[in-house]
Amino acid sequence: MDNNTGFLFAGYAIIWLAFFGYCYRLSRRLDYLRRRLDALKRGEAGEPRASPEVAAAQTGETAPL
Amino acid sequence: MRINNLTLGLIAAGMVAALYLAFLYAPTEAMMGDVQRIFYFHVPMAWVAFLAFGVVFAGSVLYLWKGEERWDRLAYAAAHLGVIFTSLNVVTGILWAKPIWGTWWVWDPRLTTTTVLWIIYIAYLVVHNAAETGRGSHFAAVFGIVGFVDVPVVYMSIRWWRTMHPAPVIAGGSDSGLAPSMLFTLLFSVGLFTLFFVYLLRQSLSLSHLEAEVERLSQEERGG
Repeated sequence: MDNNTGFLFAGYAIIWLAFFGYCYRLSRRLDYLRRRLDALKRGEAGEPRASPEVAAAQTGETAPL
Repeated sequence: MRINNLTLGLIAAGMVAALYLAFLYAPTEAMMGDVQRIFYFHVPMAWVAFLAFGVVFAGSVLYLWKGEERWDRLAYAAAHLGVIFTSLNVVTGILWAKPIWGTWWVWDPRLTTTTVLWIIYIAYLVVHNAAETGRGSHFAAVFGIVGFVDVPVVYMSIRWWRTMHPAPVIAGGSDSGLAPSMLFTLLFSVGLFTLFFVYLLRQSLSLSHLEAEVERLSQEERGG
């Protein structure tokens, strides 16, 4: 390894930190919205009103386009 | 949920493999030394950003044509990811430039056109968020279509103009090319980050569907 490896490791570290941070933020936001949607639905009488896209998102599956 | 976890596990394993390939399998480049290994993540960042902006373009065209909100959501989610990948491409480029060029930044055609691309899609996100829902989406869609013109300009900039940026190693001139182990490492990384982009895009779409549904139910609740 030469004396420029600090730049190399900095580059890789920034990429990993950015992706971990982004994925963490995304999963926190998804969890929050799923809880919020559950709470909103519990507050309503009658049948669930979620669309098929949202039902898929709630179970973690991706909604079709 | 199971498919998402499986995909995420596959991506995590792929990331470990990509690190092994970039740091241990690929040989050290003769002129630049170990810092050249940034290349194996720098180039995939650019490729995924181009792909994301292509999705913005397609989503924007379909939104203006059909008027369906799902295409606007697709374009918006892709623009978000495109800006992140472009930012990482620029940052890794800066860290590669300093030891090789002796400076963090030069207003070279490739760097300048990439900066313009980055600003265009930040403007897309700002316009999309700033205006009221319908009009903001329409303005942003126009931005997403017109802004895509810069993508081929960025790609061709190192062919059209004299530049400090390294010459293309794939589809370049007769003296371009990569050692087979370097090419394999690069293609593996490109494939992996493409899969990661698809995963993040699917997650972002799920998020936007949930946000819309929560907003709809909240409004209904407020309205009684």
